[in-house]
Amino acid sequence: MRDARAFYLAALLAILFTAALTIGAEALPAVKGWLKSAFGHHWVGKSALATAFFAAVSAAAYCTRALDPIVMRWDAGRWGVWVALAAALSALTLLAFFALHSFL
Amino acid sequence: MEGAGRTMSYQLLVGPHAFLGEAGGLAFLWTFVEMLKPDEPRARRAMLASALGVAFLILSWAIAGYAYTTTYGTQVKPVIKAGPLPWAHDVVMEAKEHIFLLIPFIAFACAAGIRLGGNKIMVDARLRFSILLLSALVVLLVFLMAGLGFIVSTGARTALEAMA
Repeated sequence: MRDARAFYLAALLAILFTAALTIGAEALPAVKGWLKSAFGHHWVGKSALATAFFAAVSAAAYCTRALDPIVMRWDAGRWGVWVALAAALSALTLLAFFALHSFL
Repeated sequence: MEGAGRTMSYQLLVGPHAFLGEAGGLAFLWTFVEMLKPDEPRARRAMLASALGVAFLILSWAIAGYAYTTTYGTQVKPVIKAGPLPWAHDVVMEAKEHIFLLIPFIAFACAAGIRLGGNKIMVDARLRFSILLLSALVVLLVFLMAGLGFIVSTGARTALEAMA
């Protein structure tokens, strides 16, 4: 759908994907090891995969009609609120996760 | 003194990273101000500001990635972890390097909202609200990164002082 909301959806999913991948890589050493061996450094792997995920969802949502029912579900204002909530929740979750990981 | 030398090349990279990151944040603050009451010239400036902001943040990301993967792990991390504030790496830097990854996606979505919204951003209050919200979020996250970066630097500085 040729609408900004396609990129709002991609940003929302990329934020959740990045947070899940980060916590998954810390919780499962095999995932972190794979990121390191495939990309040279786990952080580079997370950056590359998150960017590829964002690009793929953006392309699917903007260039095709496949995701129109999801994109059109909310107006831009509500999409903005969900993106902001996802970012705030992901940031707090990552901070709490690393604090617990370090101190417990 | 030897410890100070070990962190020098990291400092050379972290300066441009911080400068570009904060320039990106300021570009989105500019975007936010232009979008408060947009007319055609303000909408054009918001488009320019958000595009600049995205470019600055991507450059900051690239420099941060290079510094983090080539020098931070070998030069700075061991110093912080041996110092009195090891949590400056274990908690703050670990959280910072991953929260940072969220910012370019939000910034890109915000810039896309302005670019694709066109003249609609002057009449569609919901679209304008989303752009104001996302640009404010980018500004807040960039300043959060600056604050977390200060704590990481403090961790390294106190470790070097303890070594001296």
